[in-house]
Amino acid sequence: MKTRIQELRKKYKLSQEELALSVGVTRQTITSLECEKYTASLVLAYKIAKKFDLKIE
Amino acid sequence: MIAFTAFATVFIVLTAAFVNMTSTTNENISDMISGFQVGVFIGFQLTMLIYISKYTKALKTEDELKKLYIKEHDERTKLIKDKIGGTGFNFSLVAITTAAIMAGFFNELIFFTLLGVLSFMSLLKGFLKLYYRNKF
Repeated sequence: MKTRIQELRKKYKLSQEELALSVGVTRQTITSLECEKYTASLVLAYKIAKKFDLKIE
Repeated sequence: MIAFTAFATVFIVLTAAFVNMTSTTNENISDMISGFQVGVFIGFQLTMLIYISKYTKALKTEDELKKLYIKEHDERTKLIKDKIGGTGFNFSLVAITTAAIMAGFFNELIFFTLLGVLSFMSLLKGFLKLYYRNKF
């Protein structure tokens, strides 16, 4: 599933590790999300959206 | 943590007793079988020692504990484990069924052993299905 996670992460100057730690997942999960190999659950999508102060969409 | 360490200690002592017992008495058991049994016990011990050191390290600082918690509750890791369990279990059932059928042409003992294993795995799968259906 296509996401803007990488774009937003770079905009806020966050590393994958920092983002992963703040939303409670491993760095590998963030990598998989950015490579569109893995689709986040609703809970994780909400946490990431909240982190960037955006809506899930 | 203390309970786990105590359990690991008891297990190590039992292994030592078992190794001592098998090396002096049961000479009819072939070397390979006793080697496998000892190997499994030693494998369990090493696994327990690894877990003890991992959890002891995690308990030292809040950051390490948080990292361990995240690693163990990561949703992608859980999904991978579930897929391995589900797909792997079904694949094993098919493989054992095939082996049992083929063994039936050659050796009766192997056939009945595989049939016993297959029956146990099928019953286990059925039980787990009922259990998780009721739970969720």
